[in-house]
Amino acid sequence: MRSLALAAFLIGFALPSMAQADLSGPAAALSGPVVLVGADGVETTIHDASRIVAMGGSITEILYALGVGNAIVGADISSNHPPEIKTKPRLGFFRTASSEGILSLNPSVVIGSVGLGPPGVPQQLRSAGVPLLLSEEAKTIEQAFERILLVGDAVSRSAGALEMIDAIRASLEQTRAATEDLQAPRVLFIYARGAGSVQVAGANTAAETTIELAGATNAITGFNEYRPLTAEAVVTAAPDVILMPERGLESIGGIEGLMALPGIALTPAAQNGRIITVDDSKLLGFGPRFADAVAELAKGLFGAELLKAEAGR
Amino acid sequence: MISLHNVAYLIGAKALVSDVSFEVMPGAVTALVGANGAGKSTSLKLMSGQWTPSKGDVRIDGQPVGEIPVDELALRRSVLSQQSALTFGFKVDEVVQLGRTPHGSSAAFDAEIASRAMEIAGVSHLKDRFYPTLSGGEQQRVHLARALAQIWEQPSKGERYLLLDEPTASLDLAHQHAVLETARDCADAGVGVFTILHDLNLAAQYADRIIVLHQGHMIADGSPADVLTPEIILKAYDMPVMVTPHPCASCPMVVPIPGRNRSGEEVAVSAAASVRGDGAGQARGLAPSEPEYPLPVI
Amino acid sequence: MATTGDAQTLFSLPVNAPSTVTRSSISRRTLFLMGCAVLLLVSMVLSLGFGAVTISPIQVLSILLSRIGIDTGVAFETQQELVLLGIRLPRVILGLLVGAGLSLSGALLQGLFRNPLADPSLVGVSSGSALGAAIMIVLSSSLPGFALSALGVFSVGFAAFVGGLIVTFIVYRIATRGSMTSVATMLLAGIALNALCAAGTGALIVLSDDNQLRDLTFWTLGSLGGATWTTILVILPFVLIALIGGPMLARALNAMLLSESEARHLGIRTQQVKRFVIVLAAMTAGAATAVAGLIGFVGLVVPHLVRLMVGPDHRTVIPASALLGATLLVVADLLARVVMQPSEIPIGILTAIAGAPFFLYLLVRSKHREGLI
Repeated sequence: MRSLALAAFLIGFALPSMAQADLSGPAAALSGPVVLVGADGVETTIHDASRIVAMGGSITEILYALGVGNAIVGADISSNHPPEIKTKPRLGFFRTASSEGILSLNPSVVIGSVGLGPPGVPQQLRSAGVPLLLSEEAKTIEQAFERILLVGDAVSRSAGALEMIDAIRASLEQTRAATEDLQAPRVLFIYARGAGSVQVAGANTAAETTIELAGATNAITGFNEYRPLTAEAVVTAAPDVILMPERGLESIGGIEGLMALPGIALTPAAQNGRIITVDDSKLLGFGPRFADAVAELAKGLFGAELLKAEAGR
Repeated sequence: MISLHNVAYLIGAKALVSDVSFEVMPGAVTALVGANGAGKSTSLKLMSGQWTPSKGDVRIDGQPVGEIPVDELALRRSVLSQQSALTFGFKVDEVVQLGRTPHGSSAAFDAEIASRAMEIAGVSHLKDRFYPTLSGGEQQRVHLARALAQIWEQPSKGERYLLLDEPTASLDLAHQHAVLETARDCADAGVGVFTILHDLNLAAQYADRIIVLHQGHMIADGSPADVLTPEIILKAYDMPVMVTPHPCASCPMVVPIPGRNRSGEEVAVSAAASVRGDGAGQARGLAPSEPEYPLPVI
Repeated sequence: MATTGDAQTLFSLPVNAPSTVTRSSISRRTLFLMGCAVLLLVSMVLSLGFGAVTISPIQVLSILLSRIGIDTGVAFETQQELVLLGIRLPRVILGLLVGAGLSLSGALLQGLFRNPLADPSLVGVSSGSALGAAIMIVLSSSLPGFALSALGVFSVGFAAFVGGLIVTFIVYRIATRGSMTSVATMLLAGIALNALCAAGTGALIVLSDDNQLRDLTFWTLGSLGGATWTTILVILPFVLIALIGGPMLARALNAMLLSESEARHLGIRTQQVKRFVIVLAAMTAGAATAVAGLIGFVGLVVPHLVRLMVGPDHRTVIPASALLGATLLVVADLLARVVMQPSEIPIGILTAIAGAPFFLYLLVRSKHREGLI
């Protein structure tokens, strides 16, 4: 899948129309058909990117960041940034989309991720003759870059996409440089959907990637993926900082609710009041604001130390 | 003829019936009597093919019952069970038509037979009622109509049999007799009728032959006059009775002796006079007096 | 008791049966079934005509006729044709098949269990399917490349189908001793296995991430949104077999309502009937669940509705359940599509909203007929 997506943007580069994409234009100019291979391996020909349906929060953000936000005619409900997207037709959650709902907006192209569903929806859209480009659901920074390139190619904004990637790289590098000499705190990432479902991020998760990019280490090392939180695991992990998505913290009743979870109150993080929250989609969506989110996280983690380090440079 | 030959049915080591041998003849009413748990229903289940005997064999017209395909068997014998689990809202008419299930006949034909069977069983006036709304006795008669509808025609092979498990259980006096009259009519029409009965006087009045079971064993088999003796009944039911001739029918009449408990010991009150044909009831409630009839020897 | 004992009429055979009673009851049954069929047709036409993309009824007709070579001269856009033929028509047909399948399955099981509260979930089809689907949704990322590449978009459906059948089979095995299956034991074993499966599904929910949980919830509420002609081909054989086999079991199931032993006395091979019913019901409900997720209410309530309207005779209940189940699902899906367009409501919510009030109305209306349900 990944190699296919890579092939996809290589094809994109090969197309002459890509190189001369106009970054400043309000909407994608028509400059001949674009042929791309999506993450599902399907070749898609896009003739016109003037009416885009964006099925995925990060895709919507990328489109806005590339300057083609006003070509979006509808988006799924996971798209909540920038705020103006909420004034456009909402198409349900991208994993439970309605083909006919999408088609009723008469899109010239639908851009989504491989999670677009329910199963059958991609086939339905294609059989209705609408170009559908699917990107990988990014779990690593490289996948995030591939997605940006793919979306950029789709709307003839390849140069803009490259610039965006460069900017993200630069920002991440800046954060890395600023934090590399500092003592890396141990961060526990808690992912909650109400008090009944509280999980911690193990190794090989997007959360771990993010934590490491911000110059910290994951307090959990014993397992991969997410596991339900247990008091003993939390105490053993002894995190210096607890990191939570904003909505997750709300769902368990804020800081008070968090402290009531077993074991949390015994951690250094809780005792020192070091609980950091982040905007869910900004941090975990691997979209254009990702680098900013990492920088913010680093600021939250290191605070004054970071400023000192930057001043020292 | 349905014949049981040395039949036994065991559950684990316990024999519900053993060494049971008798026949049910076409054209006759055969009654099976006995105390609770004597093995009456077990015998019926073995005869109907519902259970397979542990020992011995059950044959219908010479053929082992287990070897007759159930759909063929259904054309030759119908069974009226003690109670039915039917709780769905069928109309009476539809319940009776269920008796036509084994027949491949037309719907119109089946409906006609059902309506005739309902008339025989005296439930025609209920035909549009919903079965679950009927009283227990009415339900039982509906099932009788169903059982009749099932064996309405002479099968191409063998004879017809009607197996009844306590058909009078929830019926009033008039209907008890009506049902057994119908059973009698069936026998007169050539059907082999087998019925489990609790009321010995009903058995005496309607059966050609009575079989008595006691703790899984047969203790008597013969005409009502031969079988309904105080000795046999005492053995079967542990209950002393007197047997007198029926005042207006040519059969014996069984009369429990009041004031005797199950083991036959005399208790304080005796009102034997009340069982006498003459002046019955007048003596009820009088002061204790000597019984006029000699008690049977125990 | 006037006629009792009249030996002349006992066993007398009708020369020719002129029963007017029968003729009227047959035509009543046929009329009812025809009514159901008309209702289904109307609901299909409506469902084809409404949706996020506007296609007028005349255009619907014109598009359909143009496919069989008749040009009506009514103009329509290619987009409309593609939506109608590629999305809406498969969706309506899938709704028909799933609704018919679930209701048939429910009707058969309610008859077998002599229990109006029986439905496919009772023998473990639903909970097994849910567990299968949950395993695939939550764990497929841990089984790299395995499931998704082999089965593509059908991986969850396939897992659901297999899960449903496995659990039903276990329930059946537990309840079968020698050559006899105890219906009561099946019921109890079903309850126990349902609890086990629910525990498994619950454990997977705890392990799931946000997207997986969304998928799982979505799947639990059911949807016809993924309908394609391929999906239809997947479920069609199962529903067809049940549509043919179900009515063949009708008389046997009628007799089984008396009790199992009485059914045997009436010449029914009860063990075979049980096996047929379980296989038919599990396959149909399993296939329906596989393509559309868990759509509750239909399998339970539609046969019930039919019995309230025309009584418990399976010769009517089985075909009428299929027709009304199809209608209910087609209507519910129409609502699912149009109420919040351009997004959708899960259909399981709507089957309940559409069916429950009508069901309650019938319950209240018929409560004086004690024991009728």
